[in-house]
Amino acid sequence: MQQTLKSLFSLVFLLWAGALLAQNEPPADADTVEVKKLREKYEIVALRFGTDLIPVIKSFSTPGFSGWELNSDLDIGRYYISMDVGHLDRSYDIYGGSDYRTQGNYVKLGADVNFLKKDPDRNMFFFGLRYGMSNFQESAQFVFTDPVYGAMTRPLSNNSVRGTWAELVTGLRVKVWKEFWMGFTARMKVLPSVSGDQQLVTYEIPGYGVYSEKIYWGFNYQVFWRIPFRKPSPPVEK
Amino acid sequence: MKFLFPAVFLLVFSSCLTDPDCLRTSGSNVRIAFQTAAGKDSVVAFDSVWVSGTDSVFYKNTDLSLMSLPVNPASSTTRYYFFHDMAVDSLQVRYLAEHRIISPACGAFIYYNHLTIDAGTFSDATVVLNQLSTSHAANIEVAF
Repeated sequence: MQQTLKSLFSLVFLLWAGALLAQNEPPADADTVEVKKLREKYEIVALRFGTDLIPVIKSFSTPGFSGWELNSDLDIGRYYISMDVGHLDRSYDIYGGSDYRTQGNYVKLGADVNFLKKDPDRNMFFFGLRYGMSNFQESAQFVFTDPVYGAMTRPLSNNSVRGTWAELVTGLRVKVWKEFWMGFTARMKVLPSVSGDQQLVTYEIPGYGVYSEKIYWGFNYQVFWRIPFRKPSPPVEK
Repeated sequence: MKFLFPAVFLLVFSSCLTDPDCLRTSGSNVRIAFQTAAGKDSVVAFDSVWVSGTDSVFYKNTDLSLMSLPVNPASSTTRYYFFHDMAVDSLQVRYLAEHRIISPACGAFIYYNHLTIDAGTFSDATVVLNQLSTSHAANIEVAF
């Protein structure tokens, strides 16, 4: 009887221990998936350059406006190094008889991140940052009427002004035909700063916009031509 | 990716909010308050007040404790002559004229600021507000 109880106890213990061990061992026929971590290879894939159509159209349609902007980016995988160069010559007739003119060049440097990671055509929905710099000159014919001293006209000019600002950008770039691309960029321009304005408080910074607006919005409608250097490499294992 | 659409929406539609308003707060008059040593209004009987750069006569035979006088836009200084009780006092102020365009539709204005007292015959005259504005606050307090 005692022997029978010992045997029964040993059997129960073995079964219990076996059940515990079985929980830690993978089942013999279980599927296994090996997860490979991949990373994108960063290499210069292509250069894309183009122009903003809005200033081109405005140069013909808007009196007192003359300007152009060239846009370019360097495709290095998911990230793009960007450079925009432009020129603005703009005149305004001011209410009350004054007039104003700003002329200058600007450059914007920055980078974009493409959120369409798996698009085979490398179309872009991007966010990016820019740092803008502008060298320009301003002039104005200031006409005003003082209630005591009467009407006065005063020529004013800032001959060498430098403006800087930052931009948050977003937009789309889409392959239309072969290496021809189109796209738009919306820009939120912030932190404008000028140095060198003397006689006249700066009104408009080429490339930024109205200086007194501490947040200024811009929009580009662009066409590009892309020059590919190589086919993008597939992602590699980490 | 959920945040992208609202971000783009915000970027595009908030651009409508950048139009400037035409509210003008700049002024071209210095407001001078005459006060007792205790800081209370002091009403003074002025025979007249003269301002450099103009032939106009201001506050002829007027009793007051606060006056508003123009600055000369063609100069960085203006001198005031106060005739009262068979005597004359003077005060010369200096200022910086900022030529500012608000917008093509709103116009261009001169903003006078950095107001200081250059010279004068008053024993105690102090700048309390160095920007000329359309508000009724005094720019200079004179103990009288």
